[in-house]
Amino acid sequence: MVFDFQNHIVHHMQNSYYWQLPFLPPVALPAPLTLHALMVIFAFFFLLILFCFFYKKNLPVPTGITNLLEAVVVFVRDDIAITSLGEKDGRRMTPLFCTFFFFILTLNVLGLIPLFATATSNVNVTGALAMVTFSFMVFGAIYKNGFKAFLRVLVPSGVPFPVLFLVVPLEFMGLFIRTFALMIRLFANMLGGHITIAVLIGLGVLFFGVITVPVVALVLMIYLIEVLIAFIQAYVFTLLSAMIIGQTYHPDH
Amino acid sequence: MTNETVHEVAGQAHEQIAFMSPENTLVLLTWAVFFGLLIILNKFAWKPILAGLDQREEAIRQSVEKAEQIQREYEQLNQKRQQILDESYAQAKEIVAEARKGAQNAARVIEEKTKEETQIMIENAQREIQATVQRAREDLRKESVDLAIQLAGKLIEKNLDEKDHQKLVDDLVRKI
Repeated sequence: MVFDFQNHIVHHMQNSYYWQLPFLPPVALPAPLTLHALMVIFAFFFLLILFCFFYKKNLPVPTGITNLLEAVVVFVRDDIAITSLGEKDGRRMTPLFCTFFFFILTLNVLGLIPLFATATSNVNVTGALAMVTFSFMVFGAIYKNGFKAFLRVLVPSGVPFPVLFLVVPLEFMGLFIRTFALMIRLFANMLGGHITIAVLIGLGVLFFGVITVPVVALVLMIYLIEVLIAFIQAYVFTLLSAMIIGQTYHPDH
Repeated sequence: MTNETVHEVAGQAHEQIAFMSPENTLVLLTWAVFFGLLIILNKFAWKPILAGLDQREEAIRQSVEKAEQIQREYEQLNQKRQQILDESYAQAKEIVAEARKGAQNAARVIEEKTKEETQIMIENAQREIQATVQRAREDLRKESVDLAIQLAGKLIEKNLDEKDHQKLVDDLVRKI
């Protein structure tokens, strides 16, 4: 039987109605639940449990996991939200960016645990998250500054009139392009790492017929890089969301 | 894992969803979960955490200010203490000096007084000695006269009557 290399990789990346467990037949998920949807739900409960049971609010001196979570929240508040949106808006929108960061990070890390899948390697999930950013970028800015003020995002001040014919469509397209880039960046990064691992395993099997130690070592290194990427991509998505929301909230800056 | 088993496992999942195909349910679920998390965590996590952090930052700021204030007060107190200590040393020095001066004066007075008293006592003693000597001389003289009379009586072997006796004594005394 010939090893179907392409099918092996694509299968690993695809969303499915089954949850593949070792030594067991694939578990059929009840419709319309899919594997990635299941991961999203896992992330939901994981975060709820983490913050409602493991985070101790009333510790005078936070230690352990409470300290870790607080450090991340402070980082998101000070280095992402306040840096991009200013003191007042930054503080007000910190919950949104904290949710972005922890949700994406949980989905990314879930994908690195054996038996689980990476929901952020599904374009629908990243697209949905990018659309949240887009809605804040457009509707949030209109709600905050009014429609007239929002138009200044599209019509930058100090630009000569003829140039506006070029700038306005570009700025308008920019809103969508930035959202699209946000979606593709996270999706492609998470997918890329997994494809690399799948390709390396596949190549090992293709050439040697079995999984060999050097291949495992190589895969392990890629895996470790993926752990790093899981954090970096959660940070990047949150930071860029904050930046592009900040640009429309404060068009003069 | 052999070539065949990998293929086998890959083939087991029959119903795959086409790669990058739109999945409305997943999009809606992501939104629902995201906004659900945003609302729930905002109430139970983000707000309390951020409020707690602000509170702690404020408490730390206040503690630092208080510590600085205490440090300043301590330095002031220390300065004051040093000042009081210096003053006390100076006062003690002054008191000791005064006491020494007083003692020296007292000693001088006592010495003078003692000298005076001694002088008086010496003078008294000298006067007494002189008086005693005078008295002794007179006694001696009287004794000598009596002795002389007795000797003279024996020498002349004549008993004089009281009248003559007295006359003789007076004469002798006058002569002596």
